[in-house]
Amino acid sequence: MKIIGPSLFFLGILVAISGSAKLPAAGATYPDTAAIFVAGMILAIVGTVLWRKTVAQMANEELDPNKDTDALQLLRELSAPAQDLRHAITELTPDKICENVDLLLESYVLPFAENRQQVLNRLGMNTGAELLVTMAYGERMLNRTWSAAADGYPHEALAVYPDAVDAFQEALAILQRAEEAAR
Amino acid sequence: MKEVHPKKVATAFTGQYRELTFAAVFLGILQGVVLNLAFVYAALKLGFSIGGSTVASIMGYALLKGVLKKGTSIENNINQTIASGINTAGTGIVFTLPALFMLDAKWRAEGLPGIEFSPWPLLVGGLAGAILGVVLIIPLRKQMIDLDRLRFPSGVAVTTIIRSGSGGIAKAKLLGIGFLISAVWKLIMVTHLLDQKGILEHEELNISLGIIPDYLAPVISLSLMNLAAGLLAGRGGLPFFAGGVIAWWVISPTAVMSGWIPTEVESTAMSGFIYSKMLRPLGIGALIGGALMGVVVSFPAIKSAIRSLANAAKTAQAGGSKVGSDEMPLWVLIAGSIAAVVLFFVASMLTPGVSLAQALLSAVVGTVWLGLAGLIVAQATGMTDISPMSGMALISVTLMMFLLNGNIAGAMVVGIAVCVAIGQGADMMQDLKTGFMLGGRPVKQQLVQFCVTWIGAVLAMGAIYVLWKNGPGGQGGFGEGSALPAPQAGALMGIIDAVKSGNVPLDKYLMGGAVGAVLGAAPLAGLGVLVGLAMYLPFSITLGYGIGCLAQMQMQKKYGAAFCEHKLVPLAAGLIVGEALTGMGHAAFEIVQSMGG
Repeated sequence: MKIIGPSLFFLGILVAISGSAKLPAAGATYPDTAAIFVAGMILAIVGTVLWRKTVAQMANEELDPNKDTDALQLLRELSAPAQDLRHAITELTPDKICENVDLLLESYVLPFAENRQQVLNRLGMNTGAELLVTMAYGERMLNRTWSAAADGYPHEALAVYPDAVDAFQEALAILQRAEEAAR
Repeated sequence: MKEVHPKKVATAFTGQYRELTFAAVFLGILQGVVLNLAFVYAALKLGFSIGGSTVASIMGYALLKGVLKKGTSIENNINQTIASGINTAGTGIVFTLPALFMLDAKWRAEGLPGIEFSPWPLLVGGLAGAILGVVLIIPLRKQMIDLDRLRFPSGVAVTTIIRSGSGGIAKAKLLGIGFLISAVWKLIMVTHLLDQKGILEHEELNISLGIIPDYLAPVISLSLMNLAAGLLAGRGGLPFFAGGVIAWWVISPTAVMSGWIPTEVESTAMSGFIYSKMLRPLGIGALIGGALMGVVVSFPAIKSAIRSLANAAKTAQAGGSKVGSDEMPLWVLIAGSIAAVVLFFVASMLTPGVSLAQALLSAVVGTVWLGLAGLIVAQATGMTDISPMSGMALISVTLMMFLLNGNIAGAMVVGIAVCVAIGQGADMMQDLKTGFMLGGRPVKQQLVQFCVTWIGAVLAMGAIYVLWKNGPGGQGGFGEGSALPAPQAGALMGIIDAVKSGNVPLDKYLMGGAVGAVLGAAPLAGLGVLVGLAMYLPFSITLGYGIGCLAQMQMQKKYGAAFCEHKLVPLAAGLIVGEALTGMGHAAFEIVQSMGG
């Protein structure tokens, strides 16, 4: 079932493009292969519907912890180290601030973003988009913290880092609300 | 050490972190003006232009940090946003406006009535395009950068340049190595040192080995910039490669084997025929259909992004969430769209031969089409770094000539507006991507772009008028047979001639559009746009890009994601910058040389 949808889709697309490539005869608007094009389109549309259904079913299945990165779990785990850095940041040199921000980005924020499709699949477009926009703001504020520290403006880094943490907390709250509503 | 509360430190020093400063604005405008004039001239001579963000960011680094000793990364981001914004507005005009002058002169020379046109509606159209280009980006920024996280390879390259001056020594070294390799390679290519007829020409290597037939397009682009864009895209760019493979290794042989190619077309000219008559028009249709379906599929997310824009100001004022508080507010989007429609209407009314109903239609359809074209170009640039601007200009002029009963000057007003807007939009998205990666405030970037974008349009139009009048008898300063052949405008002129004679491949646009729409509905983001773009471009580019994607995937598998992020990204950024700057230097050299001789 998992491969029927994509297979029909790609086959249909190939047939449709092939059917559309021929030039129309003199005086005609469409080529005489238009029927092949229509057949290909029908096949591709059926394939799309089946493929989308498969994707929707897979989104509801549990992730395999051995091979899948769980984006929502990363968000839950981000909270503690982000808060720790909030308390420690005033004691750090600019280099160390950059190092710690890099660690948060590489361990949690960027892998979360890489797997953002999971968020949309599991929370739906509306809530998923709200959560992703909030996380993106947090990531941008982390980037600003890095830039300010690297540019030699640690006070700006201290000023904006809490905005990043607040955004991550807000994203976590969105997730918790969605999970409660689903129960 | 005594503990300092972050807020207290912040309150004492916040004002000092340099972002939107006089120095950044002044330097950005200065660089933008110089780049705009230089590239208007270069585009008329060579047929291509370059964004200018890389030059502006390197100069910004040297002047803001090196000379003023107080520049910051995000201040440099503002500088390059302004410079590339002014420069890019010129590109939109130089690809379209000269066609009007050349066509008028050609028809008059043939004893036909010329084209009646005035510069003012064209200028108003250019200004409307510049405004709408920036307006369009307000909701698209959230969609493409925050939600879709498109790669924008040039934006990443500029970020690497700016960050290399802020402590990333190891990355700076890789950037430098990439730059050197690419610059030397580009120099070898433009000086034709390795060229061999039939094997290596026009920076492309023929890999047919005398066996592979021409219709399979056995040619690969030797552009390291192209390869680097693939290296940055990785797995995400594979559908683009697949689109090229389908076009050239499935459709093209099918067409040949089925006898769809007219017998008078020689075997060596087959790929050219298949490309221009079949694949390119189908690709344009697929691009449009894919982008339209993309809007439909992601409508809930777009709605959510716009709603968050609307809510941002309210929640920030109430002391709530700061998310979205540094974005351009929603009312600017609404007011800007209304202003653009009005400007379109005024521009159309000022055009001789356009009625009130036609002007209304032109304003509404022009604005809607401009929004869609902007979306297509921003997506294509975000995913592959390649902008299908000439294809969009073609569709714009064709569409408006139909709506305006063949009024070329009226169609050109919209054509200019669309070209300026999509150029602005794509460039702005690259700069906003850089801003995102550096932590800039988007509202500041958008504000400065709003304030200066008109400069580029006015400058480029002035330059084109002056150059045209510089010819013998006060006209013909550019075009075929002159020192400035204006190849892009020449191509557009050919299309206008074709539309006038009713020779438009409507079947290909419609069927391509339907295929693009189904591709866009698949659960793989951006499939329609990527496959459409692959069919629209020559296969040599798609192949080089695809090799880059496959190489990145192989390296990620072998060395891990961290290796790619820290080693491959700066190296690829260097490859992009090296080719861009060497290409630019070579263009300047060619122009100076031609002036001397």
